[in-house]
Amino acid sequence: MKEPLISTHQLHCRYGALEILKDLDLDIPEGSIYGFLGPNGAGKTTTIRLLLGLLKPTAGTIRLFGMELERNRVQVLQRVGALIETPSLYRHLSGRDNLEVMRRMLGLKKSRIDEVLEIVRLRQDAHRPVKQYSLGMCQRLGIALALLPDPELLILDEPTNGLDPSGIREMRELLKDLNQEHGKTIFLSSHLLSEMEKTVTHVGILHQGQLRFQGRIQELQKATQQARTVEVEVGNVLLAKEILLYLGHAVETLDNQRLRVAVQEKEEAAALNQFLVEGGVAVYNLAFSAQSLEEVFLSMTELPAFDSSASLHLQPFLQA
Amino acid sequence: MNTALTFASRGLSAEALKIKHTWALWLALLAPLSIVGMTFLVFFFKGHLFLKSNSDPWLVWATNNFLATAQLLVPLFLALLTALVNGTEHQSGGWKQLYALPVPRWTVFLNKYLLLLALVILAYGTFWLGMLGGGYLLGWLRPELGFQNFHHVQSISLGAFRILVGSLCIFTLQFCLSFRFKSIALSIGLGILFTLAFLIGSRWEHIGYYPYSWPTFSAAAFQAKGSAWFVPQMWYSLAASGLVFLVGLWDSCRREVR
Ligand SMILES: Nc1ncnc2c1ncn2[C@@H]1O[C@H](COP(=O)(O)OP(=O)(O)OP(=O)(O)O)[C@@H](O)[C@H]1O
Ligand SMILES: [Mg+2]
Repeated sequence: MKEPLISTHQLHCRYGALEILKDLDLDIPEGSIYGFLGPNGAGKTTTIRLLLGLLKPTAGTIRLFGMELERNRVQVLQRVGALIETPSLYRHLSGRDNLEVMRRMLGLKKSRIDEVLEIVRLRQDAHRPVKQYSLGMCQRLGIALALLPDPELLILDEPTNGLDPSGIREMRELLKDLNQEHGKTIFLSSHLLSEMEKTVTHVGILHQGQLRFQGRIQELQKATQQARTVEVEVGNVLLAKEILLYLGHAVETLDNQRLRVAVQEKEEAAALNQFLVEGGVAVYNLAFSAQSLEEVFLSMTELPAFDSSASLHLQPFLQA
Repeated sequence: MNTALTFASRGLSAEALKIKHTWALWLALLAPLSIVGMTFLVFFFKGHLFLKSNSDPWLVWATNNFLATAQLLVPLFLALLTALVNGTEHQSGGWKQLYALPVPRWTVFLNKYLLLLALVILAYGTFWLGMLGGGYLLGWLRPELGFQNFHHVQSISLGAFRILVGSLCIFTLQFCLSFRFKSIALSIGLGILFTLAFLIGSRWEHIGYYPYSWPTFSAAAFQAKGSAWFVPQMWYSLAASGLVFLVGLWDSCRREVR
């Protein structure tokens, strides 16, 4: 197997006494769009700063392009374009001059500025000072800055922050295009899974500095299938449970009237009902529920990290 | 070495673009011109009252320009200029961008330092030209003051050069302060505080070891008969600014951008 483009091993980071990242093992395969998800304060930006060498890890190693970051900083960064938090813009300069500053610094050719302005659709406003830009325009300019060196790897911290719905869609298309047509690997962070669900190929879910899930988006989707359940309200819980267990379902007792049953398909609900009634159990209520991808994501990030029931949501009824 | 030069020249041209539309360039030109201009007005209107006829007016003219500048205005100017230029970087959150670029870490510090040094030299050049130009202009407009009868281009040039060297340490110190700390008020405030400390303590016998006094000592060499090109304080200033520069550079290389 090929070595991942970004890999971290046992990465730790702390601000003072506060431990921000714990045992982070990231694997970002080459050619992927990797969505790095997590709620506010999870440590996404901190991770990105570590990947760019802006912070030093307290422990652990970071490898990019198969090279150790610490020792090959300049070489590695030559192949990376980044947007970190809010874009760093000189507000008194025009959009074009902001790009020109970066261009001079990197010694790139002049025509590249027009190319990236075209990509982020800022050509019309390029001459205006950045202090007159809207939030979304600043964000676009920040992305233009990241694209300027035509990097193999793009690291974007909340690239859709402040963009309107059509801007978000454009961004998705742009990222897909960069990935599929130009073969770029993209690492992007976001709060919202739904925003990225259709774009990303891989996800990592970070919660309180720990990785709760990492893998292909399909694997996460599979997890949602395990979260399909039927809730039944019955007269005799014990009897009902016995029947259901006999049928091979995983069952969880909620209270003295209600049970939760794991199912594969919605149609099973009807069959369940029939078996229960035939077995002499009075069924008062029956409800099918499925968690969406977003709900699975939320359930992973809502509970405190030390609460083991978080993983229980992922594999709900294995104990049955 | 060649790559280092490439990094420096690229960085410097990028830094130069950043001060477009800011006050930095104007400050470097207007601050020295305003001092010379003010002294010019005093000489133009009141010169006949305090200049003895047939004496050399250039000495009074140069001393007036040099002393006020060296004591008070140079430290404040340097504090302001460095805070202004480094402040744009702090305000835009530009450090994280700069330190994530594929350039060695030391170039960030060096490029900013070189740009500001260029601005400071520009300001001194303007000051020097203004003093000479102002003097000869007075000789032409007010011939009775006698500026046209004497020539001191060499000693005035040397005087301006001495103050430049004498103030290098303050410059480097203020540069490091404003580079390191986000608050503009902090670096300017400290600059004012240090300058005031010098003015208050100027009678103390060891004041000559205090960096904020060095421009004054360097300027005073202009009046002293037969002083060397380099007075001791200029050597202190060169050595100390070299040291502060190295410490600042070292610190900038291991800085974490949060
Ligand atoms: N400069 C700093 N000093 C101390 N603690 C910090 C600093 N920056 C961030 N933190 C802490 O680190 C933790 C992670 O912050 P980080 O910015 O990485 O979160 P994030 O996942 O990017 O959040 P968001 O979605 O809000 O951008 C937070 O608890 C925050 O309080
Ligand atoms: Mg963040």
